[in-house]
This record gives sequence, structure tokens and C-alpha cells, in this order.
Amino acid sequence: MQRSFKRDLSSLEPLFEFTGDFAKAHRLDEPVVFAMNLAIEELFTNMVKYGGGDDTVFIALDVLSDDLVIELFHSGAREFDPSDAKPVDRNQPLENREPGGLGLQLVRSVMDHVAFEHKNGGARVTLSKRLRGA
Amino acid sequence: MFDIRKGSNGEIVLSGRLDATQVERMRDELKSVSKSCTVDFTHLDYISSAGMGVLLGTQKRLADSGQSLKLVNLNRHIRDIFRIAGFDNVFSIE
Repeated sequence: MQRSFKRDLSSLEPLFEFTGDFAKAHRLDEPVVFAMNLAIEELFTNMVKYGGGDDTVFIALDVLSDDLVIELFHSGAREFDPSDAKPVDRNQPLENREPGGLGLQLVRSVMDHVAFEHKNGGARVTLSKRLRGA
Repeated sequence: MFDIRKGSNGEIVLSGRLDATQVERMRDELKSVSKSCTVDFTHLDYISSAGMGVLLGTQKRLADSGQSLKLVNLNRHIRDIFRIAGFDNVFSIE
């Protein structure tokens, strides 16, 4: 399944409907659906806030053998180096914690594979998660 | 659909899906909290980093006056991502 969404937070509602339809069609388990929604929301909201570029984001979902595969493509997006996003140190005391910067860390934690690339005039993020034994 | 309300024992009750479109509502509701309080997650299905940031910001503000939020009845998925984020080190979670 694939669809383009307006690059705006108001797209989250139709986006969750889209992932819900996909989950139903492929009978995805609840933990996989939670992980899929979380990863897509985190990446999509980053594209809304920081991405620049076109007003739409293309999202494709597929199940290939035993993997859920997710792709987000944002044409015209600024180049983004994910290594710039330092992981949050979970052991820091409250006074040293800041309410931000968790998004990419959560994406990496709920997915098995995350790849960022910037080519063909846009930013592409490809994610996968193993379904068997999830 | 997300909802936030006061429970019968003064606790904050969350329900539905707390995504990035709902965080302003959550922030507005938590602004008025000035004393230690329980947040009941029994009916909350989903949360992302946006909502987690509001919880963390509130916990930091309350800590300045020796108060805190206690989080209860989290589902397994939410408990897992809170652990990944280290929230188990900065909140009392039951």
C-alpha cells in the first residue's frame, strides 16, 4: 500500500487510518502495529518540523517474506545526518534530562533496520521489522 | 481519539491515542498541576515522544518544588518505550 500525505500534523489522523487498514489486511500483531505507528509518527513529524522541501510525504508499506517494510520519501527535503542526533542517555538524572531528542532513538529501538539516504532530490528513510517472533 | 480528565481520586486519567496533534491539550492540562499526582494510563493505547516530552517537562517543573508525577497501569508497549527512554529512572512507575 502506498499513499502521499500533506506534510502537516493534521495528516496524522489519516496516516493512522492508513496504517490501520494495512495492519488489518496483513493481520499484523498489536506490538508490530504499535511499533509501525510510533516509527512513522516520529519520522513524519520530523519531516513536518525540520524537513523543508515539498508539501507532501510519500509513504509505502509492504510485507516482504517475514519483514514489515516501511518507506518514507520527502522530495526536496534538507539533507539530514542521523548521526547528528545524539542518543539520549537514559541514566542521566532528571535535572539533566531535556524533553526532546527521543524520537529517533525510539524509532531505532522498535525497528530492526533503519536506513537514511539523501538522493534523487529528497530524503528517503527505509525501515524494516521482522514479523516472525515479534 | 485522546482524552485527559481528572479521576474521582484526583488522579489524571489519560485515554486513547496521545500523538503529536494532542500534546498542546496535554500541556495545557498539566500546567495547572502543582502538587504530586498520579497519572493513570489504563486506557491510554499509544504515546509518542511528543507526549513523553510533556510528561518529562512536567516532572522537571514539579521536582523544583519537591513534587512528582507517579505513572500507573501502563500497557506493555508504553512501558517498553518508557524503559528505553530511561523514564523508569526519573518517574515512579507502577
